[in-house]
Amino acid sequence: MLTSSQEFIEKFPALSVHTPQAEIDTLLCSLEESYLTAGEIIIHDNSVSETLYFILNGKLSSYIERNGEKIDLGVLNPGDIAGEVSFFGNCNTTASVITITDCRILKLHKTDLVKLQEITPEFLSRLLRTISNILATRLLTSDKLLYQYLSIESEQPGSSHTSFIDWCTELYQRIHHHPEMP
Amino acid sequence: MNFKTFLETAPEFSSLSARDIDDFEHIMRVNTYPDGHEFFKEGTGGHDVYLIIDGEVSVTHKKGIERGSFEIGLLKAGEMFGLLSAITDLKHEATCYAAGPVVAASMPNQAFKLLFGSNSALGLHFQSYITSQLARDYSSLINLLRTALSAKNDEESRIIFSSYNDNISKNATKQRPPVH
Repeated sequence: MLTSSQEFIEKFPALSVHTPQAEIDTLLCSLEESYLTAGEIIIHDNSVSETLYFILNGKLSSYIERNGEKIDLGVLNPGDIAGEVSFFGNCNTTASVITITDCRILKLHKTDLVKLQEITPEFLSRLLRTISNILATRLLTSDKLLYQYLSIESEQPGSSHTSFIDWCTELYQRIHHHPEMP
Repeated sequence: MNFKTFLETAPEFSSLSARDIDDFEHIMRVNTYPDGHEFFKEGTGGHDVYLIIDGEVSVTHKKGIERGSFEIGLLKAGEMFGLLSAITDLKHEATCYAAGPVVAASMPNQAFKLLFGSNSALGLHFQSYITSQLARDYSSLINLLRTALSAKNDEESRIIFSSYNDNISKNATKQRPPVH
């Protein structure tokens, strides 16, 4: 089933608001629809990826590995976006993402990003602001947790956490967690 | 050096067009701030976004009620601060004040919101830069955590992290101005 503009608007209301339906129709022509079965890895951690994923149906899980063990970073649901850090930062991915159930997703390839400015500037602006907000919130959260750590360490070294590796893991999980799209 | 010359010569702005530079020059106000000037205080919000042209800005964080503060890092010319709070409308996690005389350009919070909320060509350019910069800052933070987590044991991890924690603090606090 091809994605309708109505479905896209329902799944991504914050990105679609104030964007004319005709522009969403044109936008959808620039996105590639994919059907995935459970267990497929769509993003490999610490690798180059030039695709932004819009999740329409199904659930995915993000994780990293440490010494062969998986560290769970949270679940991605319909209406979420994945791959934003490497897509916008031109840097490596920050986690692996695997489908938990069968999924339907839309893919925006980096080469098509520039087209959005002409096709639908309102959507592009909302996409950029939404991703900026998510990343800024993560960085502020990391500031807060880091300053708490430094504050305690400056007075009583070694007392901030029973295990430093656990503290790093917890920080990774808390900042990587995908907040609900505004 | 005037602000326009600074924008034209700073590497962070190398990909700005001449028109973008003119637009930014009109939006931002340049002021000289005395040693000790407090730009904003931890726990507050709604302030201007600043770009340091000359001098240094100290970033500090309170240890606790009436237990003083500790310095997290020093921001230098070409670095921007106040951006995370301006984007999210959340409160600042640190206090920023002038460590010696500082020349800085500021963008009023309302002007930032207008530009950041605009789908004009300049607005999109500005948003695109900020998104890229935040993604790179976030990636740097993740890389540090990744390195600390790759350590063989807790002690090694703590040493790796400690040697970088000044950078991580600064990276998480500062933001650079629009490039590209």
